[in-house]
Amino acid sequence: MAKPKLAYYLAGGCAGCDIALLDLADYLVDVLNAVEVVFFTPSLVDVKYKDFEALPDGSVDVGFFSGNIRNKEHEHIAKLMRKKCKILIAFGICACLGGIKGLVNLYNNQELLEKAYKDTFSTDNPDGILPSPKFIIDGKYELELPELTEAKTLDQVVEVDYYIGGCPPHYNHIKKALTALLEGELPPKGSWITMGHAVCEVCPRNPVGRGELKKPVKEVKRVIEGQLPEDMCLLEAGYLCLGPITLGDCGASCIKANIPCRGCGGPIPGVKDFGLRAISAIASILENEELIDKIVDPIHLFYRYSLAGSMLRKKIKKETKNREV
Amino acid sequence: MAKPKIAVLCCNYTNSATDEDFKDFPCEIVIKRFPCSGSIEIVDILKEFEDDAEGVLVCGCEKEKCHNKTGNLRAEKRVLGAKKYLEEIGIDPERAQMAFVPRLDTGAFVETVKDFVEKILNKR
Repeated sequence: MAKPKLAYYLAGGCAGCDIALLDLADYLVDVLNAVEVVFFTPSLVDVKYKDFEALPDGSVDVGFFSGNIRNKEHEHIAKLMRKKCKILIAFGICACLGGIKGLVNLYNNQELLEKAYKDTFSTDNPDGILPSPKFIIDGKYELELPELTEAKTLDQVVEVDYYIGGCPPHYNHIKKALTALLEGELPPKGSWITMGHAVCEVCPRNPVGRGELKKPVKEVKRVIEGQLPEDMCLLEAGYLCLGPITLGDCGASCIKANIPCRGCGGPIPGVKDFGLRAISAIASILENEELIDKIVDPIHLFYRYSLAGSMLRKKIKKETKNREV
Repeated sequence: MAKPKIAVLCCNYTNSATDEDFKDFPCEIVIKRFPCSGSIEIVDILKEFEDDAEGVLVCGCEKEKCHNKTGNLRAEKRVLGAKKYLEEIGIDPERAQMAFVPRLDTGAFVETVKDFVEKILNKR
């Protein structure tokens, strides 16, 4: 029997998901023996776009797409992958919901370029040169860069079959997902590949696990304030942990390292919009309403990984449009 | 020009108002009823803004009168949460408001909606 063909593309990501694949260690050797890698750009295999374009449509069995869509090139490859792959998987939270880099949608590209190439303290750019889509060197060599767009999730551009959350996905979770893929035991299309439990359910600090009741939150603190407790529930201690609404395929690894959950796993089943549900859930367990004012910067806190794929993203766009009109 | 739209999300037990009660209003009032104000999510509030509402009023029972004990207090906290988001994305947070109205009193409910409508229309 022919080996299943695999394609992998890293778009607007940090290559953390690629490293998470490497974390599979000895299991990765088995996987690579069981599949044929036809496209793994840009990190593993030197396949040119034109070679991938030359493959017949639908000839690749599984395509992994990591990172969000931030320029025309990403968009082109996303459409190409959809054409060539029978199953297309949004791999990692960036492809699923926009990821931490989806927060760029709060600003426009010109602001971001000015900040990165001119305004920061450590930048040395006396001529104020900014990257532009076209650049001519010595009057004859033309260099073309893909044009920046706003950050988009994969499913805003093409149809996605499955989602795997996490920043990056935990290697145990990838292992389970790959095993399910190779054995053909997949959930219905359009769903998240997950065990379906929240982080709280796998968290060793959950008071319910010790037979106690959950207490209301009496204060709101930031991680930089005071010492994080080693053994009690971080929410009860006043640190805003998003465990209650985040998928716990990571095995609560951040909380085990004494860091509150920031929601990279994606929303638990039934949640339409991560950030809205997050503030809703957190607000309703606060002891009194004055505490809500103490939540600093809610968008960056609750939408840290999901702004591009949320309702607010559309809102912001609409608002700016109105202003232009 | 189309009439401005105001959305009212309310607990089912606060009123039995019909379209008839709002026919003199200078705007379109959309009432959505929920089993308890505690089941109104921030998603529901922002969805109304997405559907071109000028303002969203959330109505719950008076404090300590909620049939489900704390449903109205939850709603209040959620409205405050929604306001925080609205402020961040550049929409006037006063466009979302929470009101506590007596149970099963349509007259008082209509008055509350009227006050809110006036406040919103003054912003135009």
